[in-house]
Amino acid sequence: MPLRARENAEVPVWLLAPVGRDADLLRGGLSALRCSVHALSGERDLARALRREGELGVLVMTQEALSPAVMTVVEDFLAIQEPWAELPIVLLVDAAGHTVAELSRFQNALPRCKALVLQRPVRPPELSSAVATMQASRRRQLALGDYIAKQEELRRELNHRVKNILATVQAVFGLTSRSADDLEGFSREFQGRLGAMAGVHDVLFSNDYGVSTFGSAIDPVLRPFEEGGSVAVSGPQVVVGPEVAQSFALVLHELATNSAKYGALSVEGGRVHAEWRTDGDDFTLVWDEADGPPVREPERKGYGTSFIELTMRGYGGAARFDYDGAGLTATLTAPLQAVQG
Amino acid sequence: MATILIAEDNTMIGMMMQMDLEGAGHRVLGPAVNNSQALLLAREAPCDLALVDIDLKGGDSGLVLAQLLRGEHGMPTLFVSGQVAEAVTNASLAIGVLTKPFQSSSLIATVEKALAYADGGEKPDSGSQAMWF
Repeated sequence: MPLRARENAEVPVWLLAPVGRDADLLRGGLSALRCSVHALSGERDLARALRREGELGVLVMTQEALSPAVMTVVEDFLAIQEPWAELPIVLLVDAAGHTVAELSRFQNALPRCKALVLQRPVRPPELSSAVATMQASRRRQLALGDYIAKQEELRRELNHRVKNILATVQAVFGLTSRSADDLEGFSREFQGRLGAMAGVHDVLFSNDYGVSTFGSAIDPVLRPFEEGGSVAVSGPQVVVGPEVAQSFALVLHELATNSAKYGALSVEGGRVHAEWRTDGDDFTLVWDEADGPPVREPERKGYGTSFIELTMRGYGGAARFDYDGAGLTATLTAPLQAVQG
Repeated sequence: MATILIAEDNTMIGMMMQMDLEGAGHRVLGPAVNNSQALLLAREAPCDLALVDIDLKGGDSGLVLAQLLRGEHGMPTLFVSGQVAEAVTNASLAIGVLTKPFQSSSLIATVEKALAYADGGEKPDSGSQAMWF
């Protein structure tokens, strides 16, 4: 995120000049800056201005304003300001006559403020230029504040995602371990599922977790299975969001794994055609196996079938599995609106 | 045996929760992936407890769901989420939160505690895996 994001932020001037017409004169001297200048009447007014939500300004004050009460307000504010902020102060003093004690107390507060001392009389261009520099510094502070807030948000989001990923891996582990026949089978299936999740992540990450076409989302998952037999993929361009891309990639991984184990992809010459189409408000994906061994409906519903059914139900759609001598045909339907990104 | 509604948009986590709870002898409705599916299931049968993820499909909020389940069906919710801070901030909507990720044994034990607590039992002790409101 560029730190220039706050280039045009409005930075007001808080003016504290209690003697005579000083405030009016200084306000006039700052007119070239075309920013809002708030003349403050005293420490209470200053405290209110400093605490106004969402407003970060530059404090301009004359040496006569440096009363102990004002100093206390400034010091209190410096202690509570955001860690990335430094209150900019332009202090106007006479060559002689300012109280040393007040100035030294002011200096002590310096680590958390950015002070510039100008000697009176100050010409308007000189004052304007000093205040403009302080305003620019305030804008950089604001940009830094935004940047830190954004980083914090990303950190939280990352934490959330990592927890979700770990929870998913834990679930896949548990589910796979219950459906596997033996340790070798478990190991193969678990690695396959993790591999599919990793493959989808690569595609989505390279795409900045934005939209992709349906074809490009499922392609990396099916490619490893092309060795065994032939996998043909066809369909119109459908743009999908990252979540849909991920779900369907995992669905196709399950179909392909099943086929490589029991279906067309388990034999030489077996063929699979994965074809999707849109039909009015509906999206349909047909996974059609041919030239494989004869198949029949399994006695118990496995992980793959449950996963596919549940995924499609999640989109307000459905999954149908037809087992006949020629091979499995899975027909997955969902409202197009739920699929499109 | 209790009837438990699951609202979880991650298919694999939902399946695992369903399998664990059915394995422990409970009846499971769902997993629903969004608020409308969950509310539809809640109308089907009275449930003793709802397990609700905070982020649901399509940007649905589990916080809103918890409120609706209690308001319309008098059903207590246990949040199941990685976003513990958000759950704690909205403690008035639920009876507690189970932190993700969790093991099957934790899920089953936490659900037993939640059922007892929702049934008027004493508030269980909060730990790192589950917090009670």
